[in-house]
Amino acid sequence: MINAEVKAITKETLKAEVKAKIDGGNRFVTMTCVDTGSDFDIYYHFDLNYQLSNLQLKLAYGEILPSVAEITFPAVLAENEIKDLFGIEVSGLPIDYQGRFVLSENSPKAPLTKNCGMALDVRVKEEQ
Amino acid sequence: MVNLLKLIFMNLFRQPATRLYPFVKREPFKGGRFSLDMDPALCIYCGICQRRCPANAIVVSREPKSWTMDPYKCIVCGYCAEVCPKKCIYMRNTSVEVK
Amino acid sequence: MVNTTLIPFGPQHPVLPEPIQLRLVLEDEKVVEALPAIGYIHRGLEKVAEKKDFIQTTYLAERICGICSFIHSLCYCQGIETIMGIEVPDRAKYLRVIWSEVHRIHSHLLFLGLLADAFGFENLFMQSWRCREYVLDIMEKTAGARVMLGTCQIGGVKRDIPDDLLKETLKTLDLLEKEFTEFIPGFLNDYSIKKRLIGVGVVSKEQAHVLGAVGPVARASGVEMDFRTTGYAAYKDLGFKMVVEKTGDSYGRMKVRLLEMYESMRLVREAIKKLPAGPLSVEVKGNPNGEYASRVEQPRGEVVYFLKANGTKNLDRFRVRTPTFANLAPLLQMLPGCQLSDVPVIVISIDPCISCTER
Repeated sequence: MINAEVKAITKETLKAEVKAKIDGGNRFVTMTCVDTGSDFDIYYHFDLNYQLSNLQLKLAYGEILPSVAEITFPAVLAENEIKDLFGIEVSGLPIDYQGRFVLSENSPKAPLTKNCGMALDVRVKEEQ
Repeated sequence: MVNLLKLIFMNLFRQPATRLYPFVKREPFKGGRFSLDMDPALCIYCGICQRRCPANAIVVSREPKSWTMDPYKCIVCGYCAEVCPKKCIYMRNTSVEVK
Repeated sequence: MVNTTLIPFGPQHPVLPEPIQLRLVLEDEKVVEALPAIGYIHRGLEKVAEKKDFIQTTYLAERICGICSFIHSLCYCQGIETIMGIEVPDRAKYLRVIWSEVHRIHSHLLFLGLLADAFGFENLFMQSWRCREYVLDIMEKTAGARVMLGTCQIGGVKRDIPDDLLKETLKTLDLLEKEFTEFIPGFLNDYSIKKRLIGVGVVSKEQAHVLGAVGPVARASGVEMDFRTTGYAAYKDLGFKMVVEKTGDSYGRMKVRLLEMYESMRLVREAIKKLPAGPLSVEVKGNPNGEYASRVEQPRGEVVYFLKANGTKNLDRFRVRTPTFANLAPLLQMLPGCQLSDVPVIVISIDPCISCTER
């Protein structure tokens, strides 16, 4: 990334790395998920003195993401949003909206992935 | 509290802050972007405005020469007026009444 | 024997400008727990951005919010310009600062009006929004529309502000300052406002840092964080001073925004005085390739745009994290312990812009 360092981590070292960042005085900014076509790229952004530093985690389709919400509380909203929009399973969330944080019942499933589902209309379902 | 008492007292002698629209209308400012219009004599039907519109509001066809715009989809951004090579699309500074 | 009740606050409530639901667990009029529920105006803008090309996304980024719209498009344009390595001319940077700060004044006046309305002080509500009309007139004369300015483009700005309009802007700012002396001291010194705001919704400095508060919510608790000190656009030439309070309650949050308005007016006057002559924009050729996270200070806090481009004319990922999304966590910290009638005041004091939160 331009003007910011990116460190690649794995699922096993995730919690230790995030804890090291928080203990070092960084502020949790947000999480971003990108669908690259072959797997998911999950970025964790941290900020210290106006300087951004990132952790990058590669997640294969179908894997479960461990939650970091016990270490930093603001992550719980970002993780719920990723769960809704990308369909990734997150384990260990203190507040779990179960797929209804931003989406409603008739929305497409996992709309931001490359091959997303279709939206269901309730009237169409009743006709059949 | 004293400031507001002074304000309340002055309000007895001032004019109201609102305008009696539609009886009193304000002069529209120059350079406003409120609706879209075009001059059909200059258009060459190249279709650049259709490709650039972010809201897909313009439909241009070459064979039976026609240029249509859907005013409900238009977001009055002005992108088509910028890229038109003949400068035949322009922005009006008032909105048009739909009859 | 306490009575526990569950009350849904919202999504429709007279004090909220946009729909958000807070589920409050009450014990005899005192709030014990709060849980937010959003998703009422989710428009799916991040998916739309994958279908439009990167120049059309400027207009999309502008329309994410109806209050802080110019600064969204400024952040997007700065992100794309950094990825493509484009250097913006000086006159364009100063014009962008002028429009951003005028936007900030209008947003803070809107907040002051809504806060006065939240505890029923309709007189101050009317005076704030009456002064806001002068600011919206400046924006309409210089840019063409009242809120969706549409003047920021990749490579610079689209329109110029000629000299007579600059003089009119200065005259309007002087008029605004004169009108401010009539009712702004009322916000700070009125007895009933102080009774309702002091000590309500307190967030301490450590909690604000741990929970990720941004913007005036963090600055009112003593955390010194303002993105304009990094000097993007023309801020490094203009000498910017931060406004910080130490109390951490709703009165502090209101005072920070009020004093920021005066700072914005000073910045606009400086920028008009120092405005250099020159071209307005640079031509853009080719497609962007790379990834970058651009950050800018909005009236409500720090906004992060994560842009990933892959060499075609569509962007791979367009991710926006707006400041109200980050301020929801401190809101859940402020609510427990307060009375039910303080909940509208606390929710408005973080200045929520829910259409930004949900995109």
